Amino acid sequence: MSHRNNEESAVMDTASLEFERRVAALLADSADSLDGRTRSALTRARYAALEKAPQPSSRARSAISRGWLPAGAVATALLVVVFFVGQRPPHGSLSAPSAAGGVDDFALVIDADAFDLSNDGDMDLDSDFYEWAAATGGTSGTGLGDGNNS
Amino acid sequence: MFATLNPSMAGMGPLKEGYLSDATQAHSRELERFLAGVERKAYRIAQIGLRNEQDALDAVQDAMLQLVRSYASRPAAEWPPLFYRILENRIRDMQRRSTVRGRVMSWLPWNSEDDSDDPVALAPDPAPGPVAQLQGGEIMAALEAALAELPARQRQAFLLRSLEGLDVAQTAQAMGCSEGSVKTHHFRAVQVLRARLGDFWQ
Repeated sequence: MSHRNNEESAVMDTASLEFERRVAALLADSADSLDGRTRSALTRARYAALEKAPQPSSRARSAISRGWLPAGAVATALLVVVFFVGQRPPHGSLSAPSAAGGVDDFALVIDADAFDLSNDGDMDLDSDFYEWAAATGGTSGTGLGDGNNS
Repeated sequence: MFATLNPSMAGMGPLKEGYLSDATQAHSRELERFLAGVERKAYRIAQIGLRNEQDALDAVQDAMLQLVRSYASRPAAEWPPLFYRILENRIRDMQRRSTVRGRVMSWLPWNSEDDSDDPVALAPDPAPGPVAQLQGGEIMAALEAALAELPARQRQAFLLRSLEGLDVAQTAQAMGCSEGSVKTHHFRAVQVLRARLGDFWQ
């Protein structure tokens, strides 16, 4: 144990440092002077490795494949439906007129009622006509194309 | 050496100029520069450890792939120890696999490569020793042979410190051991190499 500690704390002498420097330089030169075939193979290996890096597009694909995108679409559709259903007034009820245009809106409602009443009057006129037509139908004919227009 | 960038850029890929942010592009370019800067030394380290060019290429490519896939989002200052730790693990796995394959093949009766009875294979190696090789100009071959005969941990410590230039802390992180162990392995490696090759280097 003490021998190991001595080695760990040992400082290499100058000759050892110079030896290591020469060996390192020799190895570095051999690495820099690799043949073209090996350098080409290393370059291809590097490009192949870099091509395998995870891409943002692959992340998007994985999001689709994991179902996050369909789930998001369904959630968005539900939000849209809830929004429109919440805005729609209950069936048969009238919304309160707003403070800004309440008078005009109310006038339109009154006009609509008047229009409906006049329509009801037309219906009364039509019933009179149908009663008259039923009473005179057997004697006057259609009145069209019978040659008595003059 | 390497700037620290925002870790939130996790998983950004390389050089997709069209839609990546400037920071992400810079991070990708920095990752590419890092790999380009270490690939040759990493190959030499793997080649010395595996003694096989194709295996060394495979080990370097695997280390690059794993770094890009798993640690590209890390700050650039963390890449060197991470990369060399991955590489060392890969080298060790391939060495084990090669050892197991060799043992299995040696047991197969139809193994044509079994030369245990071949008198030529059993004859002493007539190749000159390290000193003779150095004197004959085969400096690199002798150095590689000496490095290959080192224990794995000593070889790792020596190559990471001397060839790659990692400091003690980075080397310890790459080797998965304490800084004291790195100093011990490195010191012993230098002493052994000097003993084997020192006649030439004096």
